[in-house]
Amino acid sequence: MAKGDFLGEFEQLILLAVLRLADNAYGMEVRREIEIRTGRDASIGAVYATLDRLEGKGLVRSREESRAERPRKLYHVTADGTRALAATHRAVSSMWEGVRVPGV
Amino acid sequence: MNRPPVLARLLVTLCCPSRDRVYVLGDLDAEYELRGCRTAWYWRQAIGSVGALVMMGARRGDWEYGLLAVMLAAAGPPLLMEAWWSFVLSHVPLKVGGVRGTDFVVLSLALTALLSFGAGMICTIRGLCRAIPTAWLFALLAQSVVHSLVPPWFGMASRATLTASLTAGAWVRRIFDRGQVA
Repeated sequence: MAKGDFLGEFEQLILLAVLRLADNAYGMEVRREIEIRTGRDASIGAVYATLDRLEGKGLVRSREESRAERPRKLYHVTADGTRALAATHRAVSSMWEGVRVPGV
Repeated sequence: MNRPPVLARLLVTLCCPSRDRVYVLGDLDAEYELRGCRTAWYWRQAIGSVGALVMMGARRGDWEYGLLAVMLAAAGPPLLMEAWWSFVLSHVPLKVGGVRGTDFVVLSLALTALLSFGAGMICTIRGLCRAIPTAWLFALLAQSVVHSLVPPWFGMASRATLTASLTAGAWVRRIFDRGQVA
């Protein structure tokens, strides 16, 4: 894989949050999911900017939800997004093989 | 329900690209209510979001960010240099009214080149036909303030620098975009 094909740490967190949330993956829920699971208090701006960048790369797609009481943009991970996530996971796991770090 | 802090909300409104504003503000307001209307949390979110939202608008080449960048690139350098020169001359009273030196022209052109290269990256190739005339207009307006005190060829050199750097920035952006993951 080329250098630019791997996902950054925050990009991985966002994609995983979108996958976990399934049909309820919009900005606020993605931010909260990351906060609950990792303790990282990401800003809503960083979440939207990352989702926008991932959408530009074709790794997520968005649609507006009109039924909600306020306009919301729902995201879902594309097949390319799943592939990129799997490739990054494989690369990181491969690097961890045989490495011993106290506390892990 | 307590309303979110007006200034923090205004900050997000100003920084957020218009097409995402309704979603970002809606999410912020909803979570603010969910968290028991904590003003400090809202402020932290607003300040923490500024950089990312501005970069998002700039990366997408939204017109308001392009316009702002072009305005800054065209009018900023001569006005900034004028202010700097005024400050310097206020300490050297004998030189008041003197023609601006080569350092003024070179620094101003270098700053113009740098800023307009960045503005070109925001505007993209498609936006150049609007960006260049806008840049010329703002450059003319700014130079009218310092007109009598700079060499007569400064205006032309500044506009040429603007045009070349805007175009170079837009081309670099194009090359960069083509190299991204499809």
